[in-house]
Amino acid sequence: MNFCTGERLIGTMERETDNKRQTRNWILTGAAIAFAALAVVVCLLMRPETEALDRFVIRCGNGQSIEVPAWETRTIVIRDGRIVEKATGESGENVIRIENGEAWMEYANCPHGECMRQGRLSAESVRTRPLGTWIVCAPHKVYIEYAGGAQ
Amino acid sequence: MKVRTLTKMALLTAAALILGYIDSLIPLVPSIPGIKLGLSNLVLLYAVFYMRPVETLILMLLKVGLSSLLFGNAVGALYALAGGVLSTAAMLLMRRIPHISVIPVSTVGGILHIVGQCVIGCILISWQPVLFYAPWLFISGTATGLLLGLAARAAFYGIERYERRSGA
Repeated sequence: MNFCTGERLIGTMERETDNKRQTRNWILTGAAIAFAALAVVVCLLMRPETEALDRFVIRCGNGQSIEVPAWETRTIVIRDGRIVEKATGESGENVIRIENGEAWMEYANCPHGECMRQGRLSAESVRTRPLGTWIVCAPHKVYIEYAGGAQ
Repeated sequence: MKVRTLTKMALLTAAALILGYIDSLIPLVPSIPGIKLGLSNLVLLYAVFYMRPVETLILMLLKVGLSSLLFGNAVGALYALAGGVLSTAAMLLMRRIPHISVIPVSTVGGILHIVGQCVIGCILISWQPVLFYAPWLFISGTATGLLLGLAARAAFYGIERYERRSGA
């Protein structure tokens, strides 16, 4: 005895196919999320350890870098990837301040000024900051790294 | 290229630019630069599903070029271009899978956008700061990709229903 009309049978088959398609789509989404989670784990495992000396390393856009002991009180001005004497407010400028074991981006005329909102870098703050031991000004390619002491 | 397609692309480029501007006004996590909602990718998702691959690629290049010119800089353009090319290529490839939904396509696009940006970061800077950035970017890229996918699914449903009603 046939309990299904032809239309009902087709409807049931379509629903089953739709369910299969939906399952496949969610499996693909899950696989993508799993890939991202794996990438996060790999990045966390490969993070470099900080070194033994308590200092800040400032890297400029042209490959130049300087190391400043964390106990120093100093203002460093970088313009177009080079360390210069004074800030003039010209484009491509970053002013970094180091004081009482903390370093921060005091001024930057990059498009969004996000590096100025990244907070202060110190032996204590590296454990809680989202960017860990770094302050990054991506548009000007200027980086401040806290190297050492926290371990 | 037909006038209809040309007009459609001009409208979509304008929409992508406006959404990109709105995006730049919403800082998701102010302490971590580069984390955005990626609203303008909704336009690219539409193009992936309703336009030809060549048109989608042109739209992506226009979006990256013009938004960098208007709201960004040359370095930002390189990051956006790398992420854009990789994610658009992946989304177009995924689109070839029969009956694929927009949600996995958008999620993969979001993740590969981050992969492209990380590769450029490693080339331009060094791998060390990129490793500190990357976990946050991957988390945000996956979440925004998934959310945009859900939003796009709702939008596509509306568009298709409207087109069926109007007989377009």
